[in-house]
Amino acid sequence: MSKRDNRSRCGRVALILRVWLAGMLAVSAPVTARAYQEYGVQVGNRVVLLKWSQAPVRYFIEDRGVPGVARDQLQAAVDRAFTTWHNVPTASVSAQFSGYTSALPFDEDGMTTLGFLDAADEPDVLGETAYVVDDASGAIVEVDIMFNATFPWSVAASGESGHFDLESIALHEIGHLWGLGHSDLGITQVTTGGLRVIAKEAVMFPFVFSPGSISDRTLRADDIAGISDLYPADGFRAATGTADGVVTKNGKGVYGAHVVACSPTSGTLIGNFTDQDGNFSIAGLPPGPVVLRVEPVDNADLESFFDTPSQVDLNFQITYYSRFAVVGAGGGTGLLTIQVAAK
Amino acid sequence: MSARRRTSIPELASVGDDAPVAGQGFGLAGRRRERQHKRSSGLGLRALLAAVVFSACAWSPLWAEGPQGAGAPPEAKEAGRPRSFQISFGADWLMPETVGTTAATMTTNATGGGTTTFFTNKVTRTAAPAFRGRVGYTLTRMVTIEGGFLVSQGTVEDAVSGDAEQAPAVTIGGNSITQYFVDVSVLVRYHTFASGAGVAFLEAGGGYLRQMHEGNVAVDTGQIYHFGNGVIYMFTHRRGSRPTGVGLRADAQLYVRHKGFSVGGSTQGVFVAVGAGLVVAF
Repeated sequence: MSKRDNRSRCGRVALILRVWLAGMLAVSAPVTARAYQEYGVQVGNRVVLLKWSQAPVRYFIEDRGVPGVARDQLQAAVDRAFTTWHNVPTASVSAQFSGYTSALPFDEDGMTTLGFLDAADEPDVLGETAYVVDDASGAIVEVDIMFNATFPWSVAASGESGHFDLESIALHEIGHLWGLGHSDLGITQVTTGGLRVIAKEAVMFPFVFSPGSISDRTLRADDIAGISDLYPADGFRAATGTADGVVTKNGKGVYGAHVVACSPTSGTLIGNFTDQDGNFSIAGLPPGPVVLRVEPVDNADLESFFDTPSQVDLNFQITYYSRFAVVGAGGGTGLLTIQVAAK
Repeated sequence: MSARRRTSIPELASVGDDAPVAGQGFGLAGRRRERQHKRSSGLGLRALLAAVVFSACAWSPLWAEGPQGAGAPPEAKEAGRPRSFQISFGADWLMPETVGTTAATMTTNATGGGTTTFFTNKVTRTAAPAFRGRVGYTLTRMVTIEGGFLVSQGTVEDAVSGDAEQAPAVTIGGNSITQYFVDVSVLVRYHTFASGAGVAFLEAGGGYLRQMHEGNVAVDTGQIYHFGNGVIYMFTHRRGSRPTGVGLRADAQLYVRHKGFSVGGSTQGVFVAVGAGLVVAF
């Protein structure tokens, strides 16, 4: 059995924090799925969705801590993060702590291991997720997560100034472990030396809040839609619907447009990207009218989202679809066409 | 002074079952009215209050004349004959309803969280025509119980504004929404006019609300309550056969929606409807 090693990294630029995905280009490409950005693995001529086929996922914790975070505290924080995903009522995921190990994350040993690594050579990277995939079937063999020990970490219940909240970063990385890619539901600002997060509405947004924040301990509607689409609980698909469409500019599909669906009933936001033909599909939407907003990816590291970033179209205006997209329970909107104009 | 006293709606104090029906002798009706007039003197305040509420004052001169004017026909009983049925149907015009306002928000990068607005939605159901039908059973001269339905097709639209990335404000929508009301109401007559051919009434009721969004792919349900004021004017009657009366009905209703298609935290909406139609009494 041949295996592939794919990594999803979370990092920072200067003092500005970010998470980003890289190293996936040859072996695993983000795919536009029914909701969210999910990962696919090329197996022969087909792309296999990257997801676990067995439950619970058994994981190990590296048998060492870092200053401020003892081994048991690491395990407890990771356990809380797994529990947060497990508690999504519309998704069916489960994980089980199998013990401590002296093995390190990224050891190709068949064990899913989470722990600290000294990654001084990755000064932008807070955390990183690596997949080992069966080359023949596309099945996940193991997924390791490392937290960069060169950063200050905290497991304080209410956060700790100047320290990154381990549970928050673990929640994001475990999202990758389940197979979720990055969301672009956030607003960033270019500053000297990097980007600054103004606001975001997805744990899976590839840029993290400032040290001390614990806001990312809570999953948002976008995260919940993503995990529920990938591992749907009974009744999820029947109770929710999908917005499907194509974004065009001058009659041609727009690649890499970020489409956000907003339910006016709740104000919740769920997003996804268009594929190379301009098609998008956003699942997990509550039935009823939704507002669709299309925007180019802004300020972000395009490699966080796309395996061919140079082809992504950034030259169009933010556009609201001229009508409500009416989502039916267990159904879709039909193919909607959203025309955008160049800036 | 005496004319003013006649506005104390003596008909409303009728005991009901033994009241003369259409076509009975004027003398009998006249005597009964005289007696009722005395009994109803305590209703003056109520009548005054109702008259203030009632907006269709075009008939007010007739009220003053009262049913016991010379030659007043007994058709007044047509609009409120106890143990009789009324069927009415007609068209309504539902005024616009602000469904609600909500902001799509994001969590800010601040200690303790907080939110910032991504954009704001103000959702409105536009004015819409409706068809309404009602079946009523008159319990007493004052009170009729009605069951009815209303079907309306309008559109919904959303004024989107306050985009965090400076996208221009825009109004989207135009999607159809079909509404069904099924309700039970109590109709209370509080005045007669036009020599007894017409009555003014107050109405209140509530029932089931079903809203079908465009393509009937999504459904919202809730409750609908209404409070109204109107008039019924009977043109014809026949004695000993059915129908015993045909007339016109016009009213204005204040509707209160609970649940159904809701936006933001608000589950209630208020709108006004006006309508008119035919009434058949038998």
